[in-house]
Amino acid sequence: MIMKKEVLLILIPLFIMYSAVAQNINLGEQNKTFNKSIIEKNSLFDIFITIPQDYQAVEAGKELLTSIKLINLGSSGRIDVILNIEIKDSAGSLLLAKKETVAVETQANFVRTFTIPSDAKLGKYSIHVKLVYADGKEAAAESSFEIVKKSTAISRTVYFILIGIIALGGLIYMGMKSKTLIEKIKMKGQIRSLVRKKLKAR
Amino acid sequence: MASTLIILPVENLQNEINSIARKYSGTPGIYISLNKPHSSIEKLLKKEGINTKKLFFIDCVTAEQKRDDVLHVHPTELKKLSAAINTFIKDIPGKKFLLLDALSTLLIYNDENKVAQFVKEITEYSTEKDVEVIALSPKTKGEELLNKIFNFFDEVKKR
Repeated sequence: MIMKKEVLLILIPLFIMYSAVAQNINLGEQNKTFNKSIIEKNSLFDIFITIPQDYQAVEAGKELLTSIKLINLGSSGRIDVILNIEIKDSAGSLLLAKKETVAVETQANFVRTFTIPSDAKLGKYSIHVKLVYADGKEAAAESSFEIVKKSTAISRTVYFILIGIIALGGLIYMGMKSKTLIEKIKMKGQIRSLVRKKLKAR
Repeated sequence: MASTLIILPVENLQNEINSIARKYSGTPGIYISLNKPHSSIEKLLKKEGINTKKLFFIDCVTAEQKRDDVLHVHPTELKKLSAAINTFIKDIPGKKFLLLDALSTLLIYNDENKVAQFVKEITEYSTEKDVEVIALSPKTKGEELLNKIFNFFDEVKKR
């Protein structure tokens, strides 16, 4: 009986620790993309990477926006960590890589943007963030997104230019109309005074 | 009151104008001059001893405004011309007449359908307001083009 209790006390924390791997899996969007945090054994850091809904499908040449959250679970005080960020396609080929050092006290939230090369192939991609801190200890997270075909819809700029042209045309048309109207009123006034003058002079 | 279209040889045009002006002497009239500047018309009428004091000229030949008592309208501006005629008709009290010299000139500057529309408008408005309309047209100037316009007049006289 005592043996059974001890086994449970060991197994429950282990189960909780390893189940965190699947904690951040995003099953929305018909499993197209996911956000995953991998807490490595003995890691004192937790790391999350999230891609907002609007950026889960980006066009080549456009920017990919990500939100990264680091939580310092162990050491007290400020600690410098190295972040290795990689974007890979579904075959594992590297598209982009970035390395930077970040200082974390208890937790850090920041946004990072990546310009997707304009010649990038269409398809599913994943972004991996690996955090390396003292003694080579690591924590990692990943998320996915899709590079999609450039939309053929009229861009906002073109749309606003068109609206501007139409509005300008309307103003010109109204100006011309009002000019004709003013001329007509002027002419009527001229005729009225002419008739009055001529017929009074009789 | 009636509307009349008079088609006559070009050499008789001035005599016809003189006789109409003489007939309506003392009655206010609107003279639309499309062939000669109003100054020439006025001079010719005065030479014949016709009183032009009650004539309101709409000069469609001269572009430059030299006198305040004459209205200048380009022959292509049929809407403006129609509006001017209507205003004159409205503003001149009592009996009045409208003389169009010469209608066929409008066909040189405008599409015949537009001229037909213009004629329809002014004859209708004049009939409504009891105004005598006399339109002149020389025989030599695109007489066949006047076919569309004939119907709008109460009477067509060929001399």
